[in-house]
Amino acid sequence: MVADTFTMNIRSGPRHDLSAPTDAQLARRVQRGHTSDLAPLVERHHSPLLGFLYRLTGGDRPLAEDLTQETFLRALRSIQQYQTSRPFKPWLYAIAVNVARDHFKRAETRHAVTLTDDELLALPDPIDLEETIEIDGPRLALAISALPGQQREAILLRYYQDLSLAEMASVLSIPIGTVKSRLSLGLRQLRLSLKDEAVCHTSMNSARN
Amino acid sequence: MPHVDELRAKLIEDAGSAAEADRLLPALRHLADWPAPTPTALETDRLVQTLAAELSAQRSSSIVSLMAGLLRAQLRVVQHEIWLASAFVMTLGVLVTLTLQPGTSIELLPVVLLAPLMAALGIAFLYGPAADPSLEIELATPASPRLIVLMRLLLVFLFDLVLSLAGSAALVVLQGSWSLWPLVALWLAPMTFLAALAFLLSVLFIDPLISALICLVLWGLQVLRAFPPFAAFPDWLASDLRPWLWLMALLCVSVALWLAGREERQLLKRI
Repeated sequence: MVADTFTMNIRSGPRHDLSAPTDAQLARRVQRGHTSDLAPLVERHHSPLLGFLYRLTGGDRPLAEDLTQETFLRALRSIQQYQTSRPFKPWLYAIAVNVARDHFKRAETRHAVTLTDDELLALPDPIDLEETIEIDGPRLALAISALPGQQREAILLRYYQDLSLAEMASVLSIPIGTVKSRLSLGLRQLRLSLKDEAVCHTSMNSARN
Repeated sequence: MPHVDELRAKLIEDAGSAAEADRLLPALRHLADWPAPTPTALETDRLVQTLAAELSAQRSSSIVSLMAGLLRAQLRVVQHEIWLASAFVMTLGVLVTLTLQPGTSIELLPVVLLAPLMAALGIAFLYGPAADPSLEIELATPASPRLIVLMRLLLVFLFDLVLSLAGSAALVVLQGSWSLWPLVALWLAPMTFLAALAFLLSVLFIDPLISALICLVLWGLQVLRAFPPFAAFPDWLASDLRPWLWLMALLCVSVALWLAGREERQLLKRI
């Protein structure tokens, strides 16, 4: 089931009919004021973008919906600045990331994570979780939500939105090396969080028994 | 399981080594345990509607602000003499009309005869290098020079229209012998046509003096219709000619804009 879900998620990006116009072509027409081309563009990206923001906000659907709408509105307001020679998806996700960051800054909704990147790197590798942990959606959501913002963005863009490293670098406006380092640190931190969860879970089960 | 291989390949790319990828793989596989909601078709439709409304509002506001900006800019470019001369001529026309005997034919009122000529002469001096010292800068701006010329035409025409309306209203109030609408209807169509013709002629001949002269002669013939040798000339003030005058005005402006566009392309080629 996990495998199916993952396959579904990782391949849930837009599937284009070869004869259908590309995102860039649609965006160019929207730039010229063709309202009718807005619908296919939004239909293509609404669901993946909502998914991204849903996970980025720690599973808060109403908030994710608001941020999704704000992302599209902001994209539309700055559509003239979009260069159609470049891919549309990273441009849209860069706006989404900024919208989410603005929200977190305003609302101070992010939970503080005390460990710095250097401290994380100095930690010993956790045990292999595959054999020792039973993880479910809510716990995973909690663990991802507890990641530092930059690592969380990197993990979500890479493993849920299926962006390449180059596309991520464009979305986050950072070099590819920094993207890799954020991904690595994010995964490491995630393993630590899941391990802690597993320990708590096992202790609670033992206490109940 | 191909998806695991896919994940592993991605991890190797991200982490830099197979060993590190294998250590991270178990954690990564759990990411799929967190499904995201999918918006319904209705929710997507609602979003599209919101965005379409935003796009329309954005377009209208940008068109309005572009037009307003162009009009404001043209206010500075149009030669100041045009404003002063028009205001002077109209004031003079109203004053002379007020001195006339009651019962003078409405068609011979100086205001009626001056309004079209004033607009035509003002507009004749709007186009061409002599009348447009900022032409080179205009050619380098994103707004089409044709649109700029059209805005300038609109600005001067609106100014003359307001002046003529104010003059007519002043006459109606001060003299009381005429009603406002018949008075306005008399000069409005000829004024629009003569202004459009002046614009077309100035685009055709580039020289504003030629355009002004032709308009002066044509309108002079209308004024001289009171004398027998010129009575055969069509009466521009006649109500049955008005629809034709409007139509010809539209035609003149369209042809002038087309010619101005062609001229602009040739100029750009030369630059």
